[in-house]
Amino acid sequence: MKINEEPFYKEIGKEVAIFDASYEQKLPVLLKGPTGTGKSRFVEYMAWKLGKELITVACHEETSSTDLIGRFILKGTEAVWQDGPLTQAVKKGAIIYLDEVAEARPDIVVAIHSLTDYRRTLFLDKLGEEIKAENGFMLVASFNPGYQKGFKELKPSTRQRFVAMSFEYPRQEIEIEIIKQETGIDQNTAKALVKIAEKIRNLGELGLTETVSTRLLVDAAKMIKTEVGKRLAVEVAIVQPLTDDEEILNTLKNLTQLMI
Amino acid sequence: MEFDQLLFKKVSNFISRVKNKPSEAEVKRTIHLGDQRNELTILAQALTGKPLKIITAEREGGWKDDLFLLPGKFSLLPTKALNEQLYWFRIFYLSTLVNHQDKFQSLPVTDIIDKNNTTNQQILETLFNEFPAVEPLYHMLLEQFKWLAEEGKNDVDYSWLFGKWLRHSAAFTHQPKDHSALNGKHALPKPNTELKAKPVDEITSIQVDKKAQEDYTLMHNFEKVETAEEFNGTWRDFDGDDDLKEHAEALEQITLKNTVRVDDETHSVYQCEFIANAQIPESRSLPSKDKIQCFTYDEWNYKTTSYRKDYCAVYPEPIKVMDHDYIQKAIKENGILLRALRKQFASFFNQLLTVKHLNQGEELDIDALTDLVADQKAGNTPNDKVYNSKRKRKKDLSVLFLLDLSLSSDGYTGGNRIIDIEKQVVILMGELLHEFQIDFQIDGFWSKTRNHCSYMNLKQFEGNWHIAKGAIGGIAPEGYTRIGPALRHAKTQMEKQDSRAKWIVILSDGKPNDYDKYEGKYGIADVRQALRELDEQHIHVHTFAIEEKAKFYLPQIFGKANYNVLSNPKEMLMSMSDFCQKILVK
Repeated sequence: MKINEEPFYKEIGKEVAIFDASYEQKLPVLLKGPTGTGKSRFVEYMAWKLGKELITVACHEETSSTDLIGRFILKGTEAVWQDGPLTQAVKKGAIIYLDEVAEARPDIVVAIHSLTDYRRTLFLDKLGEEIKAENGFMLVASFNPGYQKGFKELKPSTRQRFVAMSFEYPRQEIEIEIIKQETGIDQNTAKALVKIAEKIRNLGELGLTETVSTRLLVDAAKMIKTEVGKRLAVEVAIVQPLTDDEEILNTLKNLTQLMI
Repeated sequence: MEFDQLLFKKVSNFISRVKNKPSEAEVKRTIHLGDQRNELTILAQALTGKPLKIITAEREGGWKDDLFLLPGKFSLLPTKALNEQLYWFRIFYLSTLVNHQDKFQSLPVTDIIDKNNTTNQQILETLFNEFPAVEPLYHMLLEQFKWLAEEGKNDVDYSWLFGKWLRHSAAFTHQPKDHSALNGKHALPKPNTELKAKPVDEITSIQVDKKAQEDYTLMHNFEKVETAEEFNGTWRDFDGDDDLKEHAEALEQITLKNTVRVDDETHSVYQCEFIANAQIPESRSLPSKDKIQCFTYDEWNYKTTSYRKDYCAVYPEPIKVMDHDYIQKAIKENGILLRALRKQFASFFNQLLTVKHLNQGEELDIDALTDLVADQKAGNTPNDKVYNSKRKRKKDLSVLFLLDLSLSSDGYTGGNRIIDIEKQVVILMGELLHEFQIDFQIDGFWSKTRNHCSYMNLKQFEGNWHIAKGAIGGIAPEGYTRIGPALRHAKTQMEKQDSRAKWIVILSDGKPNDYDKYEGKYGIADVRQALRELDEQHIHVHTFAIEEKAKFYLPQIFGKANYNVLSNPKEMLMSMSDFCQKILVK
């Protein structure tokens, strides 16, 4: 997918410069961080900035190397080879973004190994071919280190092949700016939302599997702009998605109501 | 008791009962802290970002150290909702104090906060600035207090609204706020004198009898030299002087037998090595134990961000009591549940046993078959592994159950004794894992200071389950919860295993606690460090806590997704069975 319009992305650190440098040096990039911190948006933005095509694969536990590389399919009486997204990206010199790569089956890690080092090649076992990545091909992967700890983790040997960047929730003023830019909401409401997030993030270690992400805040701001009403919008867009524990739910409801 | 005294007592009791009996309306509008505590704790932690606790105050309460003290019940305001809102306001007010403590600490204060007090005004200003929606709530509550005054029911006692200033403990005021600034200089005051004492076999901790201490009359014995005498039940005052050196010689003559725990600052240290457990005859009678085996482990000191080398001694404990009846009873009582779980496990294993890409098997793999035909058509050599089969999957997994056997497991939750829940759950899990041939070990731990951390091996990986069951039946609560050394010892046990996946499953209330100050931040930091060490070795840890309140502190120790809080054996067993299946799928 070619991105024609500039996606909104607010730079927090030096991530743009690091990505640019990695692209130039033909190094793969690994984005780490909790959900809703702008990893996917960042990749979109960089693809737009570099004028590259972006191919995104949302990995899940059934994603295998065949899904990435490609397979023969039957068309009528003929068997036709169909490139997978990774092969397409390698041939076109596009950016491939493997979202939540740790979720996928371990065999995809083997498939991408030769692409992540100096060789920059992909072996298509079914065709018995090895293809060299076009100039401009870049591999970007993301994963959430806190999620399913112990169950799904990236092997250290795989991690070492990437230039890695950590994504965290942005500072207050930046987060306010992001919410305003994304939704066009007023300064005060954006500020109140960020303050709510700050207080709930204090409870990050209190049994909430995930805490309030910037994405949740943006969603809440979007809901506020409708006729739903501020308090209800915050409840349905922030509080309810976070937990099912009745005590925490009640407290967060009351807390957010006193804050907006 | 004489008849007239008895009569007086009865009448007096009756009058005081009638006098103090709350009206029906009052009962209706009374709000109890116990019912609100959990929600208020979450609120306080959210507002401050600190692990604060809420406890019942003598009267109006306030903020002290890491505690918010609130009235045990409140009924002054006319409706239940208003009384509840008072608690909420109090949390917001106290949280503002905590968040801006540097700003307010230097301001002049009176014991009871008056609403016109300038400090109070500044606190309120800061509060409303931060949370504008709290201002109407405050004014509403204030109006209620004024109305109460007009009604003549009460003098306007604003301490109910604001609490009073409480003095923080010395340790709290000295505690550094920034971890990065921590170094030896900032640590707690160092004792001036340190002396080594001769080793003893056993020490007993005794409770200070404060009454006896106050009543003690000084008697002078005309001795020519400094002498010390062994404790004989006579309590004397602790003077806190540092004159250990002067008494060193006299102390040489006596044996250290008793210790007391006091909150006073340490001036001098009389360090005594004691060979723990030597008094247990079983350990002597075991042939392999000519010497008492002991493992030493480092402990993490978060203040200096360094390890205390060989700081804790872990002693493997022999099994003392075997109770096979307990096992029979537990299995009988939970028979239905066990059968259901057995079914679940069996169906789980059957589901999982499909092995793909085989040369022969009972089922055709439609995807592989499509690939085969496509390859043939494309003129490639096809892969003929197109069958699926149901085969036994190798269960490459080792699980070590680590039971917290400390005295806190003697408590009750939801009508069940914690230790019994632990025992029943491991017995039933053991039955299942044994049947399905999964490697597992069961160990227990407790501690009595760093010098005596006990670790009891109830079933080894290669051990016989039927013998081990009896040992589990016989375990009883003892000592305290020093989790760090227990985890480190469990790590050495796990390192001997070759399995691909290694899990330690802790059954505990999860709160690090030992009476040589292994508690609070120090304990939590040590457990977290031990978990990091395990993580480095790719040994995963999951905790099942048996206390409702555990959800407030477990995440700080074990991380967000690595624990479950449960209150009865059935719930815990179901949850643990799900957990085992999950780690087997991995």
